[in-house]
Amino acid sequence: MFEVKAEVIASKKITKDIYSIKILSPEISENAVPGQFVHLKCGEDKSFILRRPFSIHRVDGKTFELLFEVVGKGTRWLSEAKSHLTLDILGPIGRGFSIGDNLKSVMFVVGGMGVAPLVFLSDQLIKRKVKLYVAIGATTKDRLLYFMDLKRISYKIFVSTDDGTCGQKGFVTDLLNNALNTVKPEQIYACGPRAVLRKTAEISKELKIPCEVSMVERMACGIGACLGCACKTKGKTNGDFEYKRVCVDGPVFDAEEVVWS
Amino acid sequence: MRSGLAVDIAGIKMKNPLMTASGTFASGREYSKLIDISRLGAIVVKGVTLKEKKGNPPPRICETPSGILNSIGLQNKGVNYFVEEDLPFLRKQKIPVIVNVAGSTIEEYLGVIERINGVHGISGIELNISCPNVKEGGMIFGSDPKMAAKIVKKAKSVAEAPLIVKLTPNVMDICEVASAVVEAGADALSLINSVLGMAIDVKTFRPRLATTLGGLSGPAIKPIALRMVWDVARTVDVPIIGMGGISCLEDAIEFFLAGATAVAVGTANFINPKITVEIIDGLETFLEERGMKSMDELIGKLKV
Repeated sequence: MFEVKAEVIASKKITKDIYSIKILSPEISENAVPGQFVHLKCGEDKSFILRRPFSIHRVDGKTFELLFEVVGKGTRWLSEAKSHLTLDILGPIGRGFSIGDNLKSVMFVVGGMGVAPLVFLSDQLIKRKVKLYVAIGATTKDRLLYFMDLKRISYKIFVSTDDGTCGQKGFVTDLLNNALNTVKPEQIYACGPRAVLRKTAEISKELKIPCEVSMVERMACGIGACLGCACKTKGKTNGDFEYKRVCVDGPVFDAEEVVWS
Repeated sequence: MRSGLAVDIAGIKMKNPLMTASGTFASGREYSKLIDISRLGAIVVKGVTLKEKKGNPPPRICETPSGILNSIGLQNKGVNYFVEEDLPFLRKQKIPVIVNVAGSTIEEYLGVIERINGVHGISGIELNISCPNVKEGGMIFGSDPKMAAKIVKKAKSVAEAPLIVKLTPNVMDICEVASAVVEAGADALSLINSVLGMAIDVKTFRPRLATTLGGLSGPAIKPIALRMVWDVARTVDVPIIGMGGISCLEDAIEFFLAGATAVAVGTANFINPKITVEIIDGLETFLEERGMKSMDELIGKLKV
């Protein structure tokens, strides 16, 4: 992990309230693995003080990208960041997705903004010639981010929208059982709202497919010191539990390790 | 390091008056990746209890205007783990280590103190009778002067290292508690712990913290903390470690002027991990520029 002052190279609006930003930082870009995040200071306004965590969305040489939705003051500020602006960033942070040596096929389960780290992961999987299946869901068609890219690189893509404007109407996890009847991935990677992760964990457990989930929690320090971002996980003995840190013990966890209740 | 920054807290000799506030710095290992923690005046570690404490369910953190609410719930692996796993790392830093001692009963507090008595590398004890985020103990001990005095007296009779008592701001009269614990044997005081508060999500009608209530920290509480340090410094005769929202050099200087012998930085570490060392450097320059020879020329020198 580094603390860097890094320059914004480009930023663009993807769709309503969703932006991507490209940042120059060799330290972060060259050391990042898919699933890791950066902890970013959003301006000097003293009324909202904490850094904000963002998944690393893509890496290209010495630059990396973030994909984010404007949900409050911090992300609003970042959405207005212009080229040449210098950002104060900690990263890369956390445990990323693990990619087994002989992995042949995987499925992504994507809910909404959960696509962000999975694009970075897909780049690495394609390099390794891993067969990719995608189940992707969003509230509505316009929010199916990177849909065409994922469609192009995947062997099969399953789509849902909450309002039925694209693919099956409902949540992405509603189509997961059917999808897994037709394709047989060796590994599942899920990123999205907690409900999506929880259901994906249930289904993958039933089907005995290893599954990794990228967890989200309110976070303060982002480096493992404050114990703010707790994720309930199974303890060493049966029935016991332990709160782990999403920032450095995660954000990617083995789905079987997480206590969902 | 110039000796001009050196201070003494009840016999704990510090090369400068910058400390970390308990619970914001763990046991230093994480921050050591980003700063040279051996530059700190002292490190105050996260609250340690006799047995492991799992802590509270999430969400444990909520940002509020100029501050954060937290409800960690003293998650820690217990005093044995601390002594065996964390302390060896801290010893190598060659700076005073102050152990924040917490518990839910007097016996638990005493048990922790007995376990760390005589352990090499521990310079002081900070008695945490002010944590707002545990159901038993914590703030309950620190909000009643009689109860506070009782636990401090017992702790003092057992403790071999200097005893610092950490006070809660969630009281009618902090000076009354301060006087009571000093009378009972406290060698120094640290204040303030976080301010009890809450926040509500109006979309879901639910509290933003799983425990409903939490401790407010950060710049939002600084004026309260400063006022309390000022009041307590004029009431008792022991050194005070001031804390509560310190985020920059100027904030720290305000606390010195109000009467703090040392200061601790807490929440600001989360935003700028280098803030403690930046304040140390800034303070050195501040004294130099004014031809001040020691911290004595700053501490308690508020002009009213």
